Amino acid sequence: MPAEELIGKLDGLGSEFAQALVSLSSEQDIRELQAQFLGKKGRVSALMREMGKLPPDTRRVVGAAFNRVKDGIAGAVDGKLDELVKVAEAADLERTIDVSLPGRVRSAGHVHLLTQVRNEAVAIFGELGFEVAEGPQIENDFNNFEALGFAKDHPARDEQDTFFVDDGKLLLRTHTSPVQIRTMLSQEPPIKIVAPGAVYRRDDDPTHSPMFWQIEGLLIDEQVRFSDLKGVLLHFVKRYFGEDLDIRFRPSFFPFVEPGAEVDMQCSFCTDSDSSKCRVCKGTTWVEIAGAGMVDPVVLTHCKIDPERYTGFAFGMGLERMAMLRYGVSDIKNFYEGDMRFLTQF
Amino acid sequence: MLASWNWLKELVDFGREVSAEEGARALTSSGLEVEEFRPVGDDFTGVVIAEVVSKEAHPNADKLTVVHVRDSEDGDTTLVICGAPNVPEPGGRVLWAKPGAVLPGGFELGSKKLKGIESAGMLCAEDELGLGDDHDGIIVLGEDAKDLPLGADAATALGLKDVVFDLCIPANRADALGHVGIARELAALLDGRALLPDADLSTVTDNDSTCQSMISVSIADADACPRYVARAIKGLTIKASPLWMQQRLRNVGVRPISNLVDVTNYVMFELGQPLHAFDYEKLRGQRIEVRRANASEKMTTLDDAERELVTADLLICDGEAPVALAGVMGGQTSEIGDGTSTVLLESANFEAMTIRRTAKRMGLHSDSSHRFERAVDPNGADFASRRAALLLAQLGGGKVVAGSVDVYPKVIEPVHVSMRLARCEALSGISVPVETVIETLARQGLEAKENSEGILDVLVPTARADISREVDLIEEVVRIYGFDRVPATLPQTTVRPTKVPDRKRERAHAAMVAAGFSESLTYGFTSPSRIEMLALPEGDRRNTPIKIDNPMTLEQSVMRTSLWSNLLGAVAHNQKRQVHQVRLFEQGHVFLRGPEGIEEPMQLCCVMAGKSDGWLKPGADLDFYDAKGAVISVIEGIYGISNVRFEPNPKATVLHPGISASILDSEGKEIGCVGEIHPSIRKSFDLEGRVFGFELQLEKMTSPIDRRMIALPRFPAISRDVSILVNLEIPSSQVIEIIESCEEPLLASVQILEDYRDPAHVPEGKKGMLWTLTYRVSDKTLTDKVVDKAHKAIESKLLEELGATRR
Ligand SMILES: [Zn+2]
Repeated sequence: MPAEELIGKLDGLGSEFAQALVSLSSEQDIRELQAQFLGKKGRVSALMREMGKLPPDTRRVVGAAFNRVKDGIAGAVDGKLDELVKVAEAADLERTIDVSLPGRVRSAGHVHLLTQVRNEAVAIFGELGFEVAEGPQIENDFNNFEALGFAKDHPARDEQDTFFVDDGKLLLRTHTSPVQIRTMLSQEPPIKIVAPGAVYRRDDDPTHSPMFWQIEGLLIDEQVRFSDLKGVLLHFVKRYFGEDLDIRFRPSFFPFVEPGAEVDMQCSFCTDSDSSKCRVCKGTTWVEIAGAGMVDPVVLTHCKIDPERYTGFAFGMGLERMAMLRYGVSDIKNFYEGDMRFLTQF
Repeated sequence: MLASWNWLKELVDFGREVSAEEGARALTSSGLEVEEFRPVGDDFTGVVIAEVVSKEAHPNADKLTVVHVRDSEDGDTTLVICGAPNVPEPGGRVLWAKPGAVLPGGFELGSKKLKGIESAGMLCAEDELGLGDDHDGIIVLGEDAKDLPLGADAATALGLKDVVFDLCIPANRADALGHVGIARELAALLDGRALLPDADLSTVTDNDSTCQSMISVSIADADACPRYVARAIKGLTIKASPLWMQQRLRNVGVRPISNLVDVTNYVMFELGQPLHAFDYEKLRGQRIEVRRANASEKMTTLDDAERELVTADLLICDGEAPVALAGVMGGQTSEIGDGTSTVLLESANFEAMTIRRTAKRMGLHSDSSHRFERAVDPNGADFASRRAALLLAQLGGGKVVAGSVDVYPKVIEPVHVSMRLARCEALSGISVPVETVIETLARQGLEAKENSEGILDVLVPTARADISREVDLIEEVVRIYGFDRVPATLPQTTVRPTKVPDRKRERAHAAMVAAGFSESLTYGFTSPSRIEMLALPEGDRRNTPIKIDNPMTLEQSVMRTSLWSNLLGAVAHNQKRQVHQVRLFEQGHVFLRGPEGIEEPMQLCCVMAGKSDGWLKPGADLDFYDAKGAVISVIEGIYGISNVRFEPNPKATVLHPGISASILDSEGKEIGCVGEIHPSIRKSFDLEGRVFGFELQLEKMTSPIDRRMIALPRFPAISRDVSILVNLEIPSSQVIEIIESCEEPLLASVQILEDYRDPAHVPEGKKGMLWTLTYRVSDKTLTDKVVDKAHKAIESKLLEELGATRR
């Protein structure tokens, strides 16, 4: 075959390939077509073998034509493949879904609201260096009452209507304060603890439960002041309920503190316009959150701590009350029923 | 305690106008909290004082009266129909709500035909004006209202407008259980001057006879009765108290009875000193004896109840028998009645504990016992006696017999308490100037002198029994000076925390939540029937819970001995409310009797009911392995890896004997159990469907320790499967044991992929098991050839020892 004819055939294959390529739309078809032309047994290769029969002086020209066609095919393939990728990507981008259908969830469980309150409170007091202390729920009269200045037959005991056990020899603790006594009896000052835990009183209505949770704080050291108590509780309220809230102390009586106070915080539920309709504070703009005071010398003496050298403060708060205030829980029973519909809300 | 603002205002000279709101705020901020602020008598208008001119029966109705009234001396009369039985005779004065009057609740009156006759408004009863709850008849004004002008607005003229404070009086403030004490507090807070009511008997005393000649008083037990003051008032006429007194009593929650009884209540609410009035004629033997009861003695109290007495009860007796239960309630025999003309007035002091025990035992909580239980000032007894005697004489038209019998063997003197100013500052965190301290105390009736530099000597009146120590004075200073003036500081104390937090508890809790369980906190008590329903074996100490002596309900009468009882109750609670997917856990104390007393170990309990979670086996029934998986989640959560073993436990309690396991720690100690709730227990708790759960004895579990890191593999692993057909009863643990017994050094891990029991595909009595064994060494890449050799050896040992065939 003369050189000119060979070159003509090569060019013919080139255009034939280009024509065939146009209609193809998969990479596999393109690769197959490419193999038909450029493969070892392909049609271009077949012509290539003809080149060997040509006189050496014409081979160079044919060789150039051969390379041109080969490059042309390879270029066309690359171009076509690029185009296919673009088309495929464009098609992929066309996809839409219904994002409003439910997601496939593997839910974690829920930490009980009271545990959340407890943990948060413990963490806030922890920032100030208070350490967690615990004690038993079935207590004796000394730790629960006597050491705390509740004399036998004292009317103050009426306010803590007590469940007794073992014919009155033991009782269900009515507050977490026995943990104060246990700690002071077993540890030298300085003492800086918070004691969360379940307590029991014979009381049952929408805001009182026969079992409820308290957190108690105690600080005993030289030079502890009433103003320090105020500072610690103010810090707590700001951290837990809101930075802009203030507290006030109202004088009150608890046998184990002197001076004693009830602690109110500003109501954060009043609307600006009219606090008189506020159901939380009943129009007073204050809500009670804690009882507190300076540890009475009688208590220190009972615990063999010198009240001349050491002073201290104690405070106690109800976890339910805090949760009810912050999360709007209206019936205290919700906390103890194990109702999934309640537990999984928080 | 209820207090009347009008009454309080009478007892303080403020020197300016002070509103009830301001008074309430001051009391609340000083510790006498006003829990309720209730205006009275201001919610009606158009009610006037009117005079009855004539009255006749209604022609068409038996119970109605046609009354003509007028509201000015020479004005026209108006016809009002009245349904009450007590319309006074002409000249009597009543409260007339004229047409246009608005009554409490916003009810506006007009003219209305009653059985054919038009009535212009109505004549008012107490309850219609919100003044009390009496609806037996209309209000008829007494003699004391004779001088009031007709037509005057009733609320203003009769002083019905008042504000009632419901005060929460702290248990140590007996002095504030009377208006005078509260007024003293108000005076101290608002710069006023406290006043005392009139108790001057000079104008009402009859000097012809003496009290001593009428009565003798002896006290057998002076500890229980430190003082007894008796006075006699004679020539009295019993009748209704004047309206102002009735109204004040109603406002403080006391029902008016008669002038003679009302005065004792009035003075108690005024001065805080309980009083008792005896009908002198009914006292036998002209003597009073205060003594403890004899065994098996009885008496009938004013409420008609016959009381069995014990020797601790303190009695007031006449010459023959008990006439009052001291400080608690009077007796029937000497009760004031219609014929009473001479009253013997008791103003005594009784010891708190004695009164409290008696009142408590008898369930008799009276206004009197309430005060004595909180300690009444013995030095106030005579003043109260004079005050009441004056009022009795004035309201009953009688005379006070000269003198009194006052038995007060051991006079209680005011005490001196010293206070260091430096201590006050150190304790409170504020510095109050010495003059201010002295003045603050003085306003509370506490006389202070600076005897030496920085030390005050304070004379504390006996009315303030709550003050006996320096710290009490400091409290008084800071309280009156104002708690709001105390700054907020932070304590200087730093303590190095020493207790190691219980990581086990924290981690188990977090792992349970991560595993999809919600935390429940149930009551520490439970019902005996729930414990019974757990069907625990005889002798199990969980069967004998700690009983509460005085439970509120049977459901809360014993302490829980396991967490199962309340948690299974919670499952039922949810299912009854159509919540079927229940995933609950509780971490809490249970209460058990141990050899050294009561133990309160902490446990973790978990229950699950409903379907399996949607993503692995959507909608499948729960089974044992869901519960076991949860156990492993917790163990891994605590220790990082699972180091527990599960062993069948046919003796399991609470759980199904065939579908449960004991959980053993790495040392073989039992730390809990897991499985399906026993079918009969499920039935007792009324649970739907199969319920699974586990219990871990957290206290028996070791504390987590730090693990050492195992180097990460640097060379690839090769896996080989082995699929075998074995007898159905062979547990997977046995397969693992055999594989491990080969001690093949190349073997890195073993995992079961399938446990296949479909009878269509495996012969009866057999099951298919598919295992994956992974081979790896730390120092080179393994070749297929080496692995194949090792795998073949393990496989043949399995086939041989299990009698298995390849599948
Ligand atoms: Zn509010």
